Amino acid sequence: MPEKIIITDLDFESIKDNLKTFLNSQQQFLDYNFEGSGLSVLINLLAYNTYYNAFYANMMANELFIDSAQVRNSLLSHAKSLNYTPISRRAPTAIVNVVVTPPGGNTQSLLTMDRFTEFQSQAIDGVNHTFVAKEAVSVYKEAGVFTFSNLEIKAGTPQVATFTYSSISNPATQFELPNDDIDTSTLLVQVQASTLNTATETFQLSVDITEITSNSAVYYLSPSTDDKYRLTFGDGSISRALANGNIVIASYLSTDGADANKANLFATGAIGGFSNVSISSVSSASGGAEREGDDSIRARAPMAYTAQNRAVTQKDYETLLKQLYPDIQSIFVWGGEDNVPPVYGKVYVSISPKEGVIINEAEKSRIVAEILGPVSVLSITPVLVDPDYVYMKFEAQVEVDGKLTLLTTAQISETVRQAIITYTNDTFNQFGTIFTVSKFSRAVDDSLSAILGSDTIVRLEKRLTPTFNTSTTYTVNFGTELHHAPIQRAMKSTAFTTYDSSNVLRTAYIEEVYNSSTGVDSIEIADPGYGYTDPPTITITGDGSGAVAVATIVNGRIDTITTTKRGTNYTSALVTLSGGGGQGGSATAVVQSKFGTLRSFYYNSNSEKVDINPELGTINYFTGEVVINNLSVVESLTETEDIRISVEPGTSIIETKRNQLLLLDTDDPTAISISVVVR
Amino acid sequence: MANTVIFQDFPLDFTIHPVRKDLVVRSNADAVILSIKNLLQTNHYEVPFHPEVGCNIRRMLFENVSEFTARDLGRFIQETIENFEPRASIQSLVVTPDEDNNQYVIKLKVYIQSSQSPVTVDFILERIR
Repeated sequence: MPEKIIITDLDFESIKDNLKTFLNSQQQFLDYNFEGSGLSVLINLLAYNTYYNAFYANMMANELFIDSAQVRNSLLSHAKSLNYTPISRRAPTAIVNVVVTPPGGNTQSLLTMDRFTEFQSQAIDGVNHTFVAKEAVSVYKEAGVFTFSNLEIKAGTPQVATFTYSSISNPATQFELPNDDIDTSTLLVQVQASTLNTATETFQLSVDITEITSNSAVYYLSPSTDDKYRLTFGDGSISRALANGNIVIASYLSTDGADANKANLFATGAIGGFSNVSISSVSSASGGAEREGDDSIRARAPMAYTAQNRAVTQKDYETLLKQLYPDIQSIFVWGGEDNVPPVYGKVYVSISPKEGVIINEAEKSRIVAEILGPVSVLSITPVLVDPDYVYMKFEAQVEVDGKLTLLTTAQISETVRQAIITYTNDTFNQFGTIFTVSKFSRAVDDSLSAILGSDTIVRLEKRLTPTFNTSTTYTVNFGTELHHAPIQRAMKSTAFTTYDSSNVLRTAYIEEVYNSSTGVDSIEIADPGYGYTDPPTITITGDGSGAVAVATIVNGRIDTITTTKRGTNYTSALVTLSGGGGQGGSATAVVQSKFGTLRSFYYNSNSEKVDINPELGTINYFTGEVVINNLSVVESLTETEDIRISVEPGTSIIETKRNQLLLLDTDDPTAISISVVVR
Repeated sequence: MANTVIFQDFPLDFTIHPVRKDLVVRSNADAVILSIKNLLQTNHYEVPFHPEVGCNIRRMLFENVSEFTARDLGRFIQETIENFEPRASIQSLVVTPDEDNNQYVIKLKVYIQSSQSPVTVDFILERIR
């Protein structure tokens, strides 16, 4: 009995092998195994045809579903059926103040800056970008000058597409915009009555079909093929219909996407005939983004269908923001009720932008007002907060077998550095990532075959922006366990200046006091006793020294016992209560190395550390919370005017929580330090 | 044993047997010779997914008729048979340029697995256009 042909294989060789297996069982032709035979030619042809059909069927089936569609146009079509309009490119937006000074004696009182008035930016990566005014603005003369404040300008080339409507040739009332590099957020659609009657009316983008009447002047935007977009107008029942001879004028920007981000210097020609124009930047160009990618459409189209253009759940916020504000690297949303303490009625949104580290305040207010406001539920206030950045620093020591590589020490060091940057690029910048030292070490070890092994010390760094010349309490939360590191690797800060107790300005640092975590952390009351008229004296005995605690009493019973000095070198401690007139009270000391003490100090002329404040604050090794009390900073000595506190984590698996984000600051020369030992 | 059918194939021109009205079948040495002929007529990249199969003698089309070209031609033919026709082992291969007629005369003598004595094939490569 002839063997059955297996029909599930999809690659050419397997199909051919199956055919050969089949021929093996019959006697008519025997030469199937030889490449030159006539039979082999037939088998090839058959296998090829089968392969071709299998591929075709498989691909067609793939394209039928949004999850598996590979062809961009198929994805766009699926998105359209889910009522999802993929995000076009977005032009970077900068905010500028423009002051136009007319010549003396000029009496003009009102000046209008036309829509699409051009501005040239400085060169970014060697290219000057053209920015244009988003809309026409008119201002009155004040104090002899025309001031356009907070003017929005966008990078791109103005485009105008006009279409004449005819119900015979275009019964569906659809017009395809010819540019695929359009920024649809800049689209302005006007309808002119006819060639003779030049009266125009502006149509608005329809975002909510429930608010449309038969006479609403709206247009609908949907994806077309090849990343273009299509305008559709109503039929007279659902929104206003066009009349024959109407001319649709669509004006918009075509843009290069993210290329012009960061531009902040602009120049322009004359405005309204006046050439004395000065421009100052309020916020540099940001928000520019490439058109939405395939993976993103695949993920967001079904989510947008679920969210239905309103933000109620946490996922809704994420979906809508990603859709309406494409410059998002990663986003995290949580309800205020999860805060400590809870804040009801607020939803917190943390965005890590694709460019830069934080979103500027102007952009934040715009996102809340223009993007989140219209879709939020009435009783919920969205709040945009910056991500809680935890900077990571690496000190790697790499052992290299000198016989296995020709690279110099500097080249090896650079290779490892690049491997670290690549690794962090892949793992960081997303909320909810987990950093493990083991995987990191593997990335370092794998960066070069000559590396025998490596030892990496990871440090976490938080940056706090001080309030200058004001005594302020700062709380910094690393959000992870911290290491009781030896003194050389203990917590330390960057330099800043502050006054010491004799009012001399000193260059100061903050560090954890050596051994300070070996004291008595707290004292728990085992029995409050009775009959106390005064607080009893607390005596702490043990293998350490220096711990001091005081008690308070309420109604003759011991109410609290507070450690005023934790002392040092305790591994166990015994608490004795005496005096106070009462009896029965007892307490136990808790020695668990939970807290350490921070101090501020400066170096004297002999390079010795001199305390400015020996008890500046505390460090909680269990929760990662660092509290700095009453610090008055005169000046920060870092370039970015902040104070950076770095410390070793107590665990080799760092799990980010909530809006915490790990970051490697490649501009910081101390972020990666590599020492190479050649064997 | 001489008549035992070990190899059996059909010609690619699908010749019909005049009496049986069925496909002509070639056996043993005939089948192998047919296979060699097919291989020599196959260009690289003609077989799907197997660009290496074939002889590509067509690449010699615009070469001058000379001893050097003849030697190259011989080498191509020899390599093709060695690589893709395991049933034949070459005993001798002589390529003679026939300048006057713009052709090469090729005399190929091979041992074939199914038969004891060598088989000699003479064929002529000639421009046909």
